[in-house]
Amino acid sequence: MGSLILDALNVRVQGQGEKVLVFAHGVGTDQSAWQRILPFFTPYYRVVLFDLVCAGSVNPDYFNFRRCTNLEAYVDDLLNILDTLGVDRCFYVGHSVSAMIGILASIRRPELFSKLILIGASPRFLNDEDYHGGFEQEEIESVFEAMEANYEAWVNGFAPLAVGADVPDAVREFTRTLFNMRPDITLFVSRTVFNSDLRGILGLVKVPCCIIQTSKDVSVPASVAEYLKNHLGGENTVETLRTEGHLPHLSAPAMLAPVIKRALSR
Amino acid sequence: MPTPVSVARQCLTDEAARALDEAVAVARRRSHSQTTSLHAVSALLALPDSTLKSACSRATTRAYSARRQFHVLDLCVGVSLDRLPSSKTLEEDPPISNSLMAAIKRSQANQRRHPDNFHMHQIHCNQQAASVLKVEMKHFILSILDDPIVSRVFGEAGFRSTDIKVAIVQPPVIQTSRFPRAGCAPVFLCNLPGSNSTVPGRPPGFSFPFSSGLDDDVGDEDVCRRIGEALVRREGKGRNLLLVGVYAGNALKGFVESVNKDNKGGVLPSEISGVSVISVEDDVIHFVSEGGGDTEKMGLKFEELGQELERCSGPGIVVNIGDLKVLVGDNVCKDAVSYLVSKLTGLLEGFREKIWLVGAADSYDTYLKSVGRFVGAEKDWDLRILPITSYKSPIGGFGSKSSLLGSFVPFGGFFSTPSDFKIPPNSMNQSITRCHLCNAKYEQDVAATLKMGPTISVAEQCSENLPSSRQLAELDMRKAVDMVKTKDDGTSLNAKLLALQNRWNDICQRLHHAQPFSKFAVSQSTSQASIAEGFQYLEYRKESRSNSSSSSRDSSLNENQYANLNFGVSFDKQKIFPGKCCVVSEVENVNHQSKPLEEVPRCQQVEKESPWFTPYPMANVSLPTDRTSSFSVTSVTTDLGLGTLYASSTREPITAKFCDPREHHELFSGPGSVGYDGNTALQIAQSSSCSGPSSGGQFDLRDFKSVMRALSEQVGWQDRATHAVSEAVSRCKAGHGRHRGSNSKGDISFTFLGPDRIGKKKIASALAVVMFGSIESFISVDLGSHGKVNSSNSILKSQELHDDELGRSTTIVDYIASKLSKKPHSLIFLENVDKADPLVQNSLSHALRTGKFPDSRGREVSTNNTIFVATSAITVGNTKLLSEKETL
Repeated sequence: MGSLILDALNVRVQGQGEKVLVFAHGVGTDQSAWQRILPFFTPYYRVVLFDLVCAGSVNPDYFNFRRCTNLEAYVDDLLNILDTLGVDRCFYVGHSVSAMIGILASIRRPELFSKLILIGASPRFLNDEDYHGGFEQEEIESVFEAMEANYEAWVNGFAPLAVGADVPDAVREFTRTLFNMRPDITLFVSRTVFNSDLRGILGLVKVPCCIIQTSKDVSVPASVAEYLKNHLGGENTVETLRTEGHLPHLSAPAMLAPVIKRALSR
Repeated sequence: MPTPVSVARQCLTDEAARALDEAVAVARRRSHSQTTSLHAVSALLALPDSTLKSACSRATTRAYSARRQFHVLDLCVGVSLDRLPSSKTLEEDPPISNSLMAAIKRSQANQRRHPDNFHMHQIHCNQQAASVLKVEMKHFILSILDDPIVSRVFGEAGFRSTDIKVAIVQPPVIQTSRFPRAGCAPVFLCNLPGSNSTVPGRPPGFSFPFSSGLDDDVGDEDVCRRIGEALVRREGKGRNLLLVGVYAGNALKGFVESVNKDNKGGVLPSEISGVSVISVEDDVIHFVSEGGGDTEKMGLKFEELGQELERCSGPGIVVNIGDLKVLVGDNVCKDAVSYLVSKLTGLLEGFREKIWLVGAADSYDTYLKSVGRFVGAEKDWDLRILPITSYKSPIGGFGSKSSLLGSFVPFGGFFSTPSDFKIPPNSMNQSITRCHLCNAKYEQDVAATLKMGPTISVAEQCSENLPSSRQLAELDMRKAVDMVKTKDDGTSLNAKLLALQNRWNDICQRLHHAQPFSKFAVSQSTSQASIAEGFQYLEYRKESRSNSSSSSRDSSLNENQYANLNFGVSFDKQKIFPGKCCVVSEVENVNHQSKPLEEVPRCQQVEKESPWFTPYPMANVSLPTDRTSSFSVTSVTTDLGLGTLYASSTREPITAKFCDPREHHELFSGPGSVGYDGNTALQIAQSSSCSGPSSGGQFDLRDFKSVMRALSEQVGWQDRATHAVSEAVSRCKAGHGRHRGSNSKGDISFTFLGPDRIGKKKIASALAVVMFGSIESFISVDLGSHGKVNSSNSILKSQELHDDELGRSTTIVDYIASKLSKKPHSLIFLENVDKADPLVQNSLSHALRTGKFPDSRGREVSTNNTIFVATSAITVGNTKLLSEKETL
């Protein structure tokens, strides 16, 4: 099991340092998304990189539609990786869905995480009575329909939107990784994510969190960061990046890296 | 940043690199600054005997002539190339654009992902360093077709790039078939044939990389399973569960329901299987909200609970206290709550080993409040928190929206371009209702057969294959056909046929006009296939009628001709006539080689011609006795009943003879058992390790009937045998077969015993065609000849090729192993297995046991997707030992 999962999910450990820093990517990207901020950390940390099982760089045969029906499966994967690597404490940087995964993992194994850094995190993407998640159910349905109807068009339209800032390189990179994913897996994972609701359990998180939010993010409204801050059970801080888009690690690595660094040192 | 041409060339095999050079030349001619996928397409189309072009010609829609469509395609490519900005003339070759390079990279990754191909590839060019993976032409084209610009251009020209992909992936097995195989879904880049080894019997391009057979409540199931598992961890902290999360309430309800529904297993882990759930939720709500509540009533309830717990002999009882929200609301009676809490605490102390409390809290706040309200309860109750983040299944939405998409997910990677997300259900109508559907269909078919004869069953088949919305029209049509038939019973046959043909034409046209999505090649091809089939059947009937009127002796010829016509699952009508010439020799062949069989085809023929008045009594068929599940018994009964009808409803005295021996036919299908059949030809023993439900019932071809039909078309005279074979195959594939410990073994093996050599071979080859889509999957080895080239059989010419290769290989074992590694989806036909040398026998029995076929050097090849058919000329008595060994 051990080496199998390391192989399957392309786990890589880089850098030297005593403390372990885990980077977990979001849906639509893979570990290469962290490439540009890695140099900031490899001199000081042992950096663990891996791919989610839904990533395009993972053999799609490993994606089990029966297993990955909710985020717990991904949490299992993450904890498995950390256990296999013999990590007993780490900092965790998670983007988007990986932020959710980190939250769940830290509830299950609070002793494993010294700090969570959540980029573009949202406990719930759908709006609710007194909660603004950014999406209405109907909108989501239409997005899914669009994905079904024309994945390529959807990707080409969605990538610039998600990246937000006018950074063609980032758009291209995101498009590439999105195309790498098999459309049905993308759709399935998106459904999983949108069906998830972490609001009820945020209070169970006792690990300190740093929520990093860009000033404008199509997927996550600014209010969500506040919501997270107020509801997560640990000590939380919110950092707002003065850039746009859901993928600051792609579009503004130079801006993001110092913020992460600061958060880690606190 | 564009890539220099030389770099890109390094990633390609010679053939693909040549194509790339052409593309670069095109770009240079047009003085474009970069070479894009469009240039590549233009170059690929211009190449002599271009793969792309031939694939296109196979993927053409039938509305226009292929020539015209190619003309349009050329124009479209030209126009889009014109749209590209041209730059100043460059000195060097225009570099490769990012999109084209990405396509190359994708195909590289794809090739790498599938070690099979990779391996083969490395063998092919073993002198090259393994570091740079060269992209083969096929993969190159496939990934170029993924490019959105390219698919748009093809779209403008009336092609669909998915169709083309299907055509590329599927080699032109059947030259006459101008459409992709019926029921075949579009292909994503990652399901190239041979690239996947999960599901046995997969035709090219088909893949189920995941455990499939999803149903809608899978999400619930998963959550419930987690709850069950959490309950098991009795040691340490947290015996009693509190589900926290927005969906906790739903999850709890789902859990209780599923536990009550099937207590036997399912969601609960084995340690605590058999627990029962008692919900006090309603009582609690009642109790606490009624301003004081009825303490006595509640007390009674708890006493009941206590008694229940005392009586309980199983692992215990789960007490569901429902949502904690009701306990912490504003208008609840505090006394009632504390009474409740104390009672529950008492219960917990009294029956520590037997009781679980399960509750739900919709949010952490609720949880905190409840903890705050009854201090100590958390500790006393020993609550463990289980976060619940989702309850809805991610695929639930499909089911509710449209049944078309209901089973979309198991089809994993089919969707290369999005328009294919809506695959018409003909390739996916297999869901859970499959078995009922089958049964119903069989019954219908039996009825229809009784009334009208086989033509109807063709219609039936067709209507089943068509999208449900068409079924109405189809049924309607069927009635019309019925009418035509009954009316015309005595009148001119030709008129009848004509009318039927028109009807079929009508169906075709109407459906295609009525259904907007009929432009999907898949559905189209299915309906066309069925229609062609219909035609063909009619042709067949015509033939047989005319022949029978002249001479009844000749009728065996027709039978064989018919079989021949359908050879290779070719549905093309035109083939009928060219097919004729080769028939005669074949028939002679058959007649010479198998004298005793002569009668049988005739009987069959006769029976096909005669109006079907009386079904032969079904009672003759002795049912398999080793079935465990009653369900499979029923389904098998139907199968056999149907088979009997096919086989033996006839009034001719001669066929009574034919039927008699079959009365005694006993069919055992258990592993290690031998079924034999009085004095006639084939004997079947099967040892089939089912692929289990994970691959279950996914594909129409798995359908018993279609297998049966295809087989019996091939070898009409070995009716019982084909029946048993197809039954076994479909049972394995449909997943309601026996579940062996692990589901990983997907291989199937048969042993055919008896003197009818041709029959065995034909059944096997037909099976190969049905199961794997091409006759190339049929690998024949004569173990009796000990490595000598086997060319004595002129019927199956396509096999001589394989047999020739045998001469070069060292041993039979190595030959089989190499075949298997090249083509895991094949049917290995082992003749004279009784004469096999010990090495082969060892390897075979090892393969049957473990699913891995070792070659002479001990390397193992997986046989998960392979069907073994072993034959022996020996008859019953003295072969029992052997077959037992073989079937294991």
